[in-house]
Amino acid sequence: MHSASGSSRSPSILWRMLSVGPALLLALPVIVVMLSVLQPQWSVWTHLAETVLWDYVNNSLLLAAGVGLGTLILGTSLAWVCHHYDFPGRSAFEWLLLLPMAIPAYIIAYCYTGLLDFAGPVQQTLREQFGWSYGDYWFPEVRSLGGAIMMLTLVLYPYVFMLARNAFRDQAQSLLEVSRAAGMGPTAYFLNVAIPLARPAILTGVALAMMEAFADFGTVEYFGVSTFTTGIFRTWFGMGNAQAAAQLSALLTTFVLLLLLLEKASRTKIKYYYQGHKHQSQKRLKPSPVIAASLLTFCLLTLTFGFLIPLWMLVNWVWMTGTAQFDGHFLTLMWNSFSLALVAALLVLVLALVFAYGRRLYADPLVRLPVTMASMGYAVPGTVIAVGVMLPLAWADKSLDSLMQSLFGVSTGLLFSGTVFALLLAYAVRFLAVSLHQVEAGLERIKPSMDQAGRSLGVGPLKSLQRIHLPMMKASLLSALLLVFVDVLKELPATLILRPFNFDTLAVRTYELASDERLSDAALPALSILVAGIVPVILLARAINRESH
Amino acid sequence: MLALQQISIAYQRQQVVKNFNLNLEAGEIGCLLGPSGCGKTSVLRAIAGFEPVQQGAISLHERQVSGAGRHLAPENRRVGMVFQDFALFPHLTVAENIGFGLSKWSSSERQSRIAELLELVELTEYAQRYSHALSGGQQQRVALARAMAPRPDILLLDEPFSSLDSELRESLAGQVRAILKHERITALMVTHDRIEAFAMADKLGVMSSGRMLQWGTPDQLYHFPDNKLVADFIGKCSFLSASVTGPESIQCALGSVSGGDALKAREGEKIELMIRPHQVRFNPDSPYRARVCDRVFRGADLLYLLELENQEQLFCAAPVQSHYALDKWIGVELNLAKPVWFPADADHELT
Repeated sequence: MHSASGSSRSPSILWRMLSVGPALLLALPVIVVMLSVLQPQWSVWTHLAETVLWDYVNNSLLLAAGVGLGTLILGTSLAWVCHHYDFPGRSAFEWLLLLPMAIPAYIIAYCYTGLLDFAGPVQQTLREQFGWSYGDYWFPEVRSLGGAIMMLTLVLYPYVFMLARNAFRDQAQSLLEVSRAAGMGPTAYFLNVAIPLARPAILTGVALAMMEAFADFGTVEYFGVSTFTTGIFRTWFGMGNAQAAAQLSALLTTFVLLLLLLEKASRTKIKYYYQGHKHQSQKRLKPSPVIAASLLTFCLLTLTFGFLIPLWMLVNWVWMTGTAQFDGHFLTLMWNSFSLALVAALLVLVLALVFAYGRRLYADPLVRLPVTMASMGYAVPGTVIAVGVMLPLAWADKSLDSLMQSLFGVSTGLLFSGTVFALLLAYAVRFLAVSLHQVEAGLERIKPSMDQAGRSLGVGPLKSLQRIHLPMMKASLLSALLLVFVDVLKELPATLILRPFNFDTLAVRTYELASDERLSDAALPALSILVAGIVPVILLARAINRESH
Repeated sequence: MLALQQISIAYQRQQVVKNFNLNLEAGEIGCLLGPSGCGKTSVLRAIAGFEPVQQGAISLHERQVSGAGRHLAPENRRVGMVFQDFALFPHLTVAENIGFGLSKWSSSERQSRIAELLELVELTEYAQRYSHALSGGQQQRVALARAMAPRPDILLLDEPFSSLDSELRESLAGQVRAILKHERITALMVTHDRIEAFAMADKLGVMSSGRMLQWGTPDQLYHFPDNKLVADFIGKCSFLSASVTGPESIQCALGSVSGGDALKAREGEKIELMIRPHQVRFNPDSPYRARVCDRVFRGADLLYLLELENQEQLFCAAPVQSHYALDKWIGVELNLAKPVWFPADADHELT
């Protein structure tokens, strides 16, 4: 009813510093990138505008638009099928169709390249069957913009699928009955009631998928499609122009933020999609056997293309290359990746806890605003974050080094920018929102009255943290840890740019081997990432399952 | 036992409770009644220690817990509280919830206290269940048992029945009163429902805009309200305009009524007479006629809305056998043992 804490109304200075300080640090990379436009590099811009800039703009926009459209159609139709019809295997598909989320886009791109390119099994079989040779036939090129759109759509549609299905599930049976009584058939209901009501949720899913498309680096780099992310990479490493890379980043960030704003606007206008109270959920339609079979085929095909084929390719490659790969080098790779991911996940969790409690205890704009800004990092592409982290850290290193040189005559070297510190900062920026979301969801279940009940029963604030909060938050903390862990494991562009010299992770090694056209060697690290990626998907599926019961 | 002296409570710059006084004797069940937003919950939260007071003092057992420069933490007040949403801990069983505040007790004492309370609220067979597996009424009783477990000096109940359906409310209110009386607990409840308040309270107070309008027994408040607001809030009533015609007599549209000595020196003054529905009777021989405007069947009786010849309206509760058709004119009379009246301009004083 009133402030959550009751007795302590003025924010303590300590909490303020604890949450505002790190929040500002996390907001810094994006601020640095956006401020870089104040020093325009005209010569580079003219050069870029004459050569590749329009490619970047066109390809990035086309990629995002294509992925948006693809995930919209695929995700929404699958969600409606699983919500509205009763066919064999339906309940299993509710979570099976989430599995493609486990595969990073760059890995599915490697798999389909291996499957579909000239030397791959598909074209080989065609040539053998028909006696063709090179140049005799036309075959779609997977390494193209269209191919990239397909790859990203296959692994990103689950966002739309999941959100649309939850939105459909929140629609009451009475809504369907009232529409039927008003003379609407099932198709008219779908178009006039179900879709408009689910629209905010569907658009949120599409916007998430489009943000991922803007952020993608591995797929487009491998397919040779010039987008903003590859352009930033090339401007930085190829042309050695950090400022210009930062300005390209600013332009890309503008696109993403625009998308974020559009999505927010579409949601604020319509707040009625979730009615909150308990209601009878809609009964499923029993379709004729022919329709049931085609629905089943639709779901099965999506699962096959989005998950089974890539999995089969990877397993096959690992099988072919044999046990020789399980060597000391691979173990180092695993150790690097897992320890890095664990440390990052723990760090992000601690930050999320500080921010979440700060927001719970003090309804104070001074605490809220920086945290809100810091949690927007999830929308910013990894490449951009890497640039935004690198610039200030390199400056800090240089300043510290010259200071130490002049004072003591010792060189401190690259204390921040060349170490794991830079990586951890980038991960914290990118994945704070993931962790914060989990922690706040857990904290929300602890109503202020429960804190007060504890205190009126003679239990002080510290003890109630231990006896009420910790046991009630356990599951949320664990999933926050796990989700960030796997996200870090999968992350490619920021890791590639910021990793310390000679420090390889599973994702980086996969990328390097694939870039050297050693796809079968890349399969083992790729498969390790995929297997780890399945865990949070199962967690998600279970959480959704629990909600619907 | 509980004493609130001239307390004021404010959020930001908004005063929600002003110069509020309250006294509760040991073993008494008090009840604050008022519309939402009148400040009654704030009073409760101030007693529990969740809100500081700007002025005045709160004492429990002669010990000051809130006052100028003093604010005892909620966990040190020995105050039990039952929350509107029950606030049961979802990660603990019923027995563990009840035992939550007993961590400093010895294990055997704790177990016997939990068993005693489980029996008292009739939930012994549910001891090992989790709260989400219980019905609303059962959750309510767990919340009550948990708050009573450490034997608090006073038990506070914040709209304890508001999340239950209306049929359950009345029966549960009776049960809770019996439990509190059995344990001889001093309690203060807050509600906006007068049926609940009547079922629970020894002493009743009506609040409005952060002030106490009247404090007394339910009977006192019903029959002798201090002002129109209390009269209206505590039960259905009508007001007839009247004038004082003699040292002990009042004249209204339904004839003259003999009043008490309070009327002295008010001769000629305009007043308003409070009429409860049961104080109006049908009598075919009465010279005063009324038209039936509306009629509602209430099970035990019929509630008529009548219009007098001067267009004043009033409610009348009549036995179910009486069956007067709408628009029919019938004879009515008043049956006032001790008339209650207010000055005619009383509205302005209160709002």
